[in-house]
Amino acid sequence: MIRQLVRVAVVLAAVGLVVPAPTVHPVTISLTDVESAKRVDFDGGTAWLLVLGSDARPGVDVTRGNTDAIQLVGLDLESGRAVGIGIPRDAWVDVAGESARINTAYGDIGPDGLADIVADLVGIQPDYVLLAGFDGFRDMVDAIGGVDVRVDEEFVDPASGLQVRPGLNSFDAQEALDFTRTRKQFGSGDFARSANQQLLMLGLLRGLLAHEDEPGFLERGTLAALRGFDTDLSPQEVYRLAQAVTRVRPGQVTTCVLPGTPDETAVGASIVLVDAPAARRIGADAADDFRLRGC
Amino acid sequence: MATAGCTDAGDPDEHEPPESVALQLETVSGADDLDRAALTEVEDEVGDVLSQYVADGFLGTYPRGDFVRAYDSFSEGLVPEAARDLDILTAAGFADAESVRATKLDARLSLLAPDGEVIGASAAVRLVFEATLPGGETRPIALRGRLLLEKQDGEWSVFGYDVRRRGDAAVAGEVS
Repeated sequence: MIRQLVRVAVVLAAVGLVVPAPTVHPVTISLTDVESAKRVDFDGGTAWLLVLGSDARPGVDVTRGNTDAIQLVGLDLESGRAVGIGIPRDAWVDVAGESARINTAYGDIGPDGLADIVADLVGIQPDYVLLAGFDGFRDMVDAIGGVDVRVDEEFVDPASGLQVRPGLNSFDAQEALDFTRTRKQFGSGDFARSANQQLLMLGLLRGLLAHEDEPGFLERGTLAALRGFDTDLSPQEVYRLAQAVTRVRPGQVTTCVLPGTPDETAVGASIVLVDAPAARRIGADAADDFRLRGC
Repeated sequence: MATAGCTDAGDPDEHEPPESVALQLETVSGADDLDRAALTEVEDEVGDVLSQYVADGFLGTYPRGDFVRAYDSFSEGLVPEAARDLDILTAAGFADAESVRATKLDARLSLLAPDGEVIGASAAVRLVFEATLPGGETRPIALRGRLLLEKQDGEWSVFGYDVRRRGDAAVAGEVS
C-alpha cells in the first residue's frame, strides 16, 4: 500500500495556564493529518505484459513486421515493483516446428504463439500482448511530450545520426525510436539494443510519473496507445493499465536481457543461441517477487 | 460548468443536516470530439457517480456508520483495497460528529474518448467539508486528488484513486 502519514502540525490548544499544584488537567490537542492513498484496480494487482515493437514501416500492417523489440514486463502494483526481461530479437527458437528467429514468430503464428514461445524460454506466461509499429510508438511519445532517457555511455548511431551523451538525454519521438533500434555500433549489438529499450521504458515511466497529475495527460497517452497499438487488451483495460503503471516506482524497477551466444545460420544470418538455463533462472527470479537480483 | 446535486444520506426527519454546497463539475480535457449533448450526458453521468460518492462517504445524518456505501460505484477489484483506506476516502473518522456539511465540491474532468465515445475519465477533485463535533466545535476535512473512472456496458465505475486527505482529528487526553 502506498500510504503515507505526515503529521503537519500538532498542538493548537492546551488548557491550564496556571498550574498551582500537581493535578490532572484535561487537554484538547488538534492533530492535522495529511494522508495519501493511491490504488488502481488492474488484473488483481499483478500482470505480465509482452511489449513488442514491430519494424513494419508506416502504412504497413504492424502485425506483418518483425518484432525487433521484445520485452516481457512484470508489474506488481502493491509493492510498486516492476521487472523487464529483454529477449534478443535474433534469439533462435522453435517457431511452429522449425528453427527461426523469434522476431518472425508474431507474423507467423500470432501473438498467442509468440507468448507461448516466451513462456517456454523464461517460464512466465504473458497475460497480455501489446504491439506497436513505428507510427504508434512515435505518436505515443509525441503525446506525452518526448522522453528523457538516462544513458551511461555516449555513442552516435551512424544510421540515424542520433548522438547520445552520458547522463540524461531528452529525445523527441523520432530520436526515441532511433535509440531503441540502434545496434550496429555496439559489440554486443542485439543485447545492447534490448538494454536500451529497457532504459527507454524506464524513461517513459519517469515521464508518466512527472506529469500524471496534469489534466488530460494520461488520457492523451492512452488515446495514442489505442490508436497505435495492436493488443488483446480492451480500450478500458489499456486505460486502466496506463493508470496502473503510475504505481510503479522507478527505483523498484529491475531489468535483464536474456544472455546467449551470437552465432550464424548456415546462410550467414546473425542469430543468438539463448542460454536456456539462465533464461529459466532469470524468469524464476522475476516471477518470485517481481524483482531481479542479477542477470 | 455543470452542477450536480448531492443527496444527503439518512432520514431527514431525524436530524436535518446542515446545508451543503452542490458539486461543481467542469470538463477540462478530451471533449474536442464531443458535441454539446454528448458532453452534457457524460457530465451528468459522472456527476451522479461523484455526488453519490460524496453523499454516502461524507454527508448524511450524524452520528452515522455504513461509510462503505460510498463504494457502491467502485469496481469490484477496488472495493477491498478501498476498504483499507476508509478513513481517507470517507468521513468514517468523524462517525460520532453531530453533522458534516460540504463547503466546496469541485471536480475537473479529463475525458478519454476514442472515436468520439467516452470510455474513461479522471476527475481531479477538491472536496472540502466541515464537521461539527459534539459540543459544537468544528473541524475541516479536505480530500484532493484524482478519481479514475471507466464506462463499461453503459455504467460508470471508479477503478482507482490517487488522493490526499487533510483533516483535523480531535484527540482528548489528560496531563498532570
